Amino acid sequence: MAQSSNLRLTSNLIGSDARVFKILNTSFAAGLKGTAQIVCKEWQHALHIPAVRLWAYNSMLDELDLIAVSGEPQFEHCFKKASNRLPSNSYAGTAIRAGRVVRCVNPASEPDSIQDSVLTDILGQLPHIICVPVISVDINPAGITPPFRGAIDIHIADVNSIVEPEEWLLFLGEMSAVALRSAHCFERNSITQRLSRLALDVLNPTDTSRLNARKDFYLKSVKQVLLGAANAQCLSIFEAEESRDALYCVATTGLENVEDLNHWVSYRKDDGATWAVFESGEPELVRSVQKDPVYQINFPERRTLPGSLDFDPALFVPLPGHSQANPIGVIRIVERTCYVNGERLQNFSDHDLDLIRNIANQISPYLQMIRLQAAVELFVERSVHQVTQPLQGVIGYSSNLLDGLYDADPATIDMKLRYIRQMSLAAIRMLRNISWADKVNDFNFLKNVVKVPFRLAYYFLDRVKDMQPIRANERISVKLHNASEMAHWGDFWADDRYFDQVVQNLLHNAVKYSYPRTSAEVRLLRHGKDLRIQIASTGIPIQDGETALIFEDRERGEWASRYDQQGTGQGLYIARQIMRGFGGDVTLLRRDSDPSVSPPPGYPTAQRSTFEILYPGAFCS
Amino acid sequence: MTQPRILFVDDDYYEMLGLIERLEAEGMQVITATTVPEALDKSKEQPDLIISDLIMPRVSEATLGDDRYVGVNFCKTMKARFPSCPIIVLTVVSDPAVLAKARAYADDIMVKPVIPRELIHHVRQCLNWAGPPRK
Repeated sequence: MAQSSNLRLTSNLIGSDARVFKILNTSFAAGLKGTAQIVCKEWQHALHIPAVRLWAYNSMLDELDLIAVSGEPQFEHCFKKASNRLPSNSYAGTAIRAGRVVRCVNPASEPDSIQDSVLTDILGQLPHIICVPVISVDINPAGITPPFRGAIDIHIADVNSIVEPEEWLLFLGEMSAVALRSAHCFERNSITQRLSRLALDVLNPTDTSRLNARKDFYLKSVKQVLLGAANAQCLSIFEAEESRDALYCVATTGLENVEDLNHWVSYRKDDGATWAVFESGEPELVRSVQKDPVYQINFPERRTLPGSLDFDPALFVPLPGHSQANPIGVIRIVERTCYVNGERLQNFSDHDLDLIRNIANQISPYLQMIRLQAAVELFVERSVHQVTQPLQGVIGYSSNLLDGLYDADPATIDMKLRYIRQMSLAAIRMLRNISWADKVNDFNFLKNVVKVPFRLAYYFLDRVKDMQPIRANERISVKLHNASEMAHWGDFWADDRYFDQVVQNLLHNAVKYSYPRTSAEVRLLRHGKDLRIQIASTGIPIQDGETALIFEDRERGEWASRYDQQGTGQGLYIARQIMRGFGGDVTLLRRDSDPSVSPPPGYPTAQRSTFEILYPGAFCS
Repeated sequence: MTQPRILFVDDDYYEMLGLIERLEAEGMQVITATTVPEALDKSKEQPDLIISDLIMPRVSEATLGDDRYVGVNFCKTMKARFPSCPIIVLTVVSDPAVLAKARAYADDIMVKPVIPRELIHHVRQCLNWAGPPRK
């Protein structure tokens, strides 16, 4: 039995089992409520669990790289029979060798043919175990032997405790695959409805609510500083008896979509004591302010109110580090009409300005934090978009398949299944990018590498096919050169998870940033035991100053950002970090202007950009 | 009832194709656009319904402003052009402030991923609410 309470996640999911969970739950005492999912590093371990054998129930699973099974004992004999039929280079064959096999059982009907002691012994062999707080995963709630007439039923105990959304999405994808391949077994639409809801639960509100909580904290911190200053009468600028609403103060970050921190100070008539109120929605005060960009450029420290103007003057105090090129962080003081002994007061004193500068110094770090937070929120939004959009494709096509929209036309269904697969991969690739982004500099990042042999031509032909649906309506194609030559190169060894991420990141970029009616091209070169993969596309240019920048984390070229607003700027960074981890590299090989291609309106002359992946020792086991 | 004309605006065409196919299977005529300028160009005549994303590439600074939620401005433009045309927004955005902006012009907001059957239900509701399709 694995003893570590630091549960490790891998992609080698095997399944859920009420009895397994019972043992896990006792061992870990982790307080999880529900079913566990177990990870076997070696496929053979899974064979000890009878229910795994049912995966062969569905003989069409050889196109899936993740396999779902159920727990009915009468299918024990099916396993060997089906596994013998699988080609060694098929997805299922690869998946089995990589241990990427998923088992979903009906906890209510799990057979008791295996003793707890045996189960414990099996679990003891498992190097990695994950627990996802799934209460139950039941593909056959009625407990009826196949053909099932049930519905998939997934209950989550606590989505916030899901550590790796990538793993969860994989799981959802597997469940979706079960439904698609066994559509007659399930109530129509039940799975897609649940999948979409669960996906949103996992991907969307969880992250944003956490972020918003932090944002609130930062905003509160800034307000506390201002409030403290006000309470200390630092802002008692106008103490005239006749003053009413003497001061309206705004600390602004200058950032898009970050609200100003409105603050106004007023004075009680009777004793002149200062008190402060923080109101972000004080319409009367806001309405009287005329926003003039000139103020923000010049930052005049003293202004005289021209008698002809009917709006309030404003004074801006830049925060430390502020510059015209980087107009972030400004304290803006708006002077309301104010009379002192019948005389109109128009300016702040030097002392007042010093006080305001002091406040500016105090809140500057907080505003910088807000700035970072805004960037994080933007990143999360884009990431959610990049994951949810392909999920929309998966759910849309899945639902249509289940509803028989494609008239059982095998060619159409095959095409839709390819779309579904491509979109699932896109979502998973994006989630891996997100989850790896913070880890790729970690020394341990690549420690779980398991190299398996590939047929290079087979692998790349498949990747290229996967990419074809993307932007196909803009007639962007993907071409693979020298495929026939590759067939003679023999086995190529790589960890499919890492290598696939690198290839897909670059291929996806090539398609994404191509101009319409062009081709992305893939060419492979073998130099001894090393492999060079060149991926070229014609489209959005990379400018002179951006050649290093585009390999940085969350950085993108200027035109790329305009062309594709959802990108997160991580693809090249992740790809390079992975390949450097393997002793190789990802580089920008060439940039050639190509005026023969017509750019879309508003975009610059096309550039043919060639990236190269260097993988040393690729042909060594 | 004549065949309703629906303008479907989303930059990710193939990911939305499942929804488009379902709308067409329901007997609706779907006009697709992957950019806002293309949508504006294709909506010279009033459609019976508009379905739009919020986040799309900003092709023209002059016509679309600097808001990154280009779809909000698009909905605003279309509502001004065709006040009686219902608009359904499909989005992954969950920020209440952004959704509030969209809600000012949209008749319905659905959060992606959307199940085709649910979309059909909302489309039918909107079309009924807006009266029979234009002849």
